[in-house]
Amino acid sequence: MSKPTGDQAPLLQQPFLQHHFHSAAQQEASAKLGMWLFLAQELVFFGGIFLAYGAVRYFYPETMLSAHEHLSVPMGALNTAVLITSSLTMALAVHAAQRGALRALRRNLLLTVALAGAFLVVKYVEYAHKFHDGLLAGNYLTAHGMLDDDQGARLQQAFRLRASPEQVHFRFDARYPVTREALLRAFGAHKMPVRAITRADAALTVSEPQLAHARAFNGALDDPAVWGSQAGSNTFAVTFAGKPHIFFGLYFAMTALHGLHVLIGMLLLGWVWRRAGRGDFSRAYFTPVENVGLYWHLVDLIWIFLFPLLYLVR
Amino acid sequence: MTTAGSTTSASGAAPAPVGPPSAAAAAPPSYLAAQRGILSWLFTLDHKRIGVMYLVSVLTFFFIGGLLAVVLRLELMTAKGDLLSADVYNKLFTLHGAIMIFVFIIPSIPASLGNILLPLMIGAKDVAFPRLNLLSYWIYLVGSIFLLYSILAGAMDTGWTFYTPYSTQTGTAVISATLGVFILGFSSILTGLNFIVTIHKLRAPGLTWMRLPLFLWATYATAIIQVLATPVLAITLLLLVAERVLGIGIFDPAMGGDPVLYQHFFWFYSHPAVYIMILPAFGIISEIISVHSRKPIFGYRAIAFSSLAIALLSFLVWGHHMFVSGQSELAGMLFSFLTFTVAVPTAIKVFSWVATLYKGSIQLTTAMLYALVFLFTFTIGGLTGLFLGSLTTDIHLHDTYFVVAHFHYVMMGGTVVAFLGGLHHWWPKFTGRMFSERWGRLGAALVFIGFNGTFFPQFILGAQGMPRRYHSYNLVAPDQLPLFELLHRLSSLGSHVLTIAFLIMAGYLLHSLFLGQRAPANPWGGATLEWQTASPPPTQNFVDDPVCSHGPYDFSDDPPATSAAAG
Ligand SMILES: [Cu+2]
Repeated sequence: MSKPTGDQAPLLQQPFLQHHFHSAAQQEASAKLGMWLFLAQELVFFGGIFLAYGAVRYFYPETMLSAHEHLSVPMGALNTAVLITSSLTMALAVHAAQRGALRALRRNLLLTVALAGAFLVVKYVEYAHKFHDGLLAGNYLTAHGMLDDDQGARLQQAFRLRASPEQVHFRFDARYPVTREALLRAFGAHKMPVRAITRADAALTVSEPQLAHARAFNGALDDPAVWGSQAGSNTFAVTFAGKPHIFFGLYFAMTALHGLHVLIGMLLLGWVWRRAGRGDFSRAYFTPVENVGLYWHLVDLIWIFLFPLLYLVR
Repeated sequence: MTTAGSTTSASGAAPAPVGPPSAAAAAPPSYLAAQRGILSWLFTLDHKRIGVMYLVSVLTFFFIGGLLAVVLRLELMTAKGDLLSADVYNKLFTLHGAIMIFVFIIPSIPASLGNILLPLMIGAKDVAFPRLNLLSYWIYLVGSIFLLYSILAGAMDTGWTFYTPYSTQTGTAVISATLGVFILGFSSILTGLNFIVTIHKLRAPGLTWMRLPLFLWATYATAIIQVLATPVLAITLLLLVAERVLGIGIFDPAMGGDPVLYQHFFWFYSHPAVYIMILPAFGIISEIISVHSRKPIFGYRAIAFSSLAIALLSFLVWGHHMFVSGQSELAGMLFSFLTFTVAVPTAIKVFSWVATLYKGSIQLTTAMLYALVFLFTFTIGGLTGLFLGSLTTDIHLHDTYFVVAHFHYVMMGGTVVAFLGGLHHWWPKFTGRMFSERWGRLGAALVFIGFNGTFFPQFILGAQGMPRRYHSYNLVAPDQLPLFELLHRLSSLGSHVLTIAFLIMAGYLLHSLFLGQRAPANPWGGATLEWQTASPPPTQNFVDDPVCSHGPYDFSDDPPATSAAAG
């Protein structure tokens, strides 16, 4: 397509120039501005969920404090280090593009993709752990994994033996009472007739380490109203103060949204890597590298906020 | 403005103003005739074709949403619920609202008229990101399909606001509908992003910010809201879906959540969204009033910057939807005060338009009639907003027909009327055909009568205590029943007049497509760049790259160029 050149020299050397732009500079400035606007809307998008986090933390500070202890700080810290390193390799990739060093560009892009993959692997391990423990969002929070297999069996035993007929009839399998409503829902799902649920329903015997775990999970377990006169004994009531189901709901919503952005980032990095191999980029034109770089830095930045907010609550 | 081809100046011609490009050289085919076949439309990168696809889509949804409204009005002709069951009524008004808001009115002006006009008005060949533009149309289609699918899946009965906790509990198709709206949001964001970059980077030489047509200032302000508010809707709807599917409990009081938090989230987007709907309408009115009264716009800068001021203020007033939702009194007072401040830039615009008309040579064309209707109905809509923005009166008027009337005076009497005005104003440019002015004026008059007939009685109904969203009202206030029934019937009657007006409009516009007179390049004597190219424009918009030499409403040295019709 013939290009109107204005007062510029013929643009035969610029195959990347789209027909509706007058100059490479105009095209580049447009792409950059577009990317910054996109990042702005990303910030507002994540800003929304950070706001939700703020509201929940304001409503239930004790929930945040107790529930967050079930996130693995070493894993989170490892992932933070991984992402910061990937930001560095990304910056190196852009720098290589500026110099026209295509080999270094491709190498650094690959490194960035690899680090992004490492982040997702660590995240997968964390998620698997949460699924195993039943520390899930909303209705799916069962916390059954807080017991080891042996204890779990004993827990079920205890329920079968100790629950008196006028209280509840159910087999305790993997459902862990959270709120009365969630409990009712859970039992409904198991087709168990429920007459009444009181704190006593869930009384059971557990070992000392299990007790410590439960204390850590739920600060309110020290509340005499929950413990009754048996405080300090081996009996505890499976009643949560606070709203851990909301905490884990937010944890999964925030990290999954961020993880999705990491995944999209990997695809974009792969696309730029391929284009670099095809010879699309030169010192004169590497806007896509820069824009993907901007996106990647934003994804890193969001994690820098997610990590302390979720893992390091004080 | 003139088009001075930079390539012709290279060949030695003086940079004299060239009207429409000389028809002597083989004129390039128009964008409509350039290619044929459905695929040439669905995969086009031409902003004009994408705009036309948007136009056809939004008009289709306007038709569906309007049909639903007519059925609702039929039900309300009698106090008893005898035509529809309560459930069906709830679903129909929800669908009417959701369709009108999310797939008609939000994309209506920016994505259809804006898409076609923006590059033309700044003398560019296309928007900055043509592929993104096409992508946003496809996303719009996918989102609409989700929304339509929810109708097949049993529809939803939450109202278009999807308030929790009801929306997390009702057994109706909330998820597909909210996902549809979520997807539509991306389309809106991408359109806004594209427009901002286009206006910043692709303006023709000489087209400074202070020469930007006011329609584009309005589009620019709208685009800012689209980019910065819509993401909040996206996250809100995701949280709503998570609440419904997983029960994360953040909005459900039974699980420790807060339903008012949902309302904060929802209105943080949805209040600015009403400015996404109305700001482009302001832009159209500025264009029409200036061109059809052949007078430079009064207060160009004031109008331009008041658009930006409204965009900014729109982010600060969302709480006025929650005066009776249990938000703190202090918050209520602040939101009430901030809401009142929006009236200032809005009034600046209305005064400027009226001042433009003063001593102008007003031509009562169809487009101008719509602009005048707008001045009348929008002013009523705006002023009744003050009743609702005041804390005390709002407690009485909240959730009554007064709100319904106010909203429709602003959205239909404002946005839709301006949209129709713009459609008529630029119809010759888009299609290359003139419609029948006589039928057009008749349509405008019937819209005026039908609109006021439909919605004015609703102000009285609301003030008398008729609640909104009721499918029968024989038990609401038995002593007032005759009055309620009379007013409801008047309103329904008005809706029938509106129906006739729209049928007439569809008739003469379709007629003009096939049998209308060929349109000249500049039928109304406009001074902005889109009138300096052929009607309809070629794919590349301009034969020679335009250069802008004066402001958008400088009619002094540009007599209406009706003679030089190209094509
Ligand atoms: Cu509002």
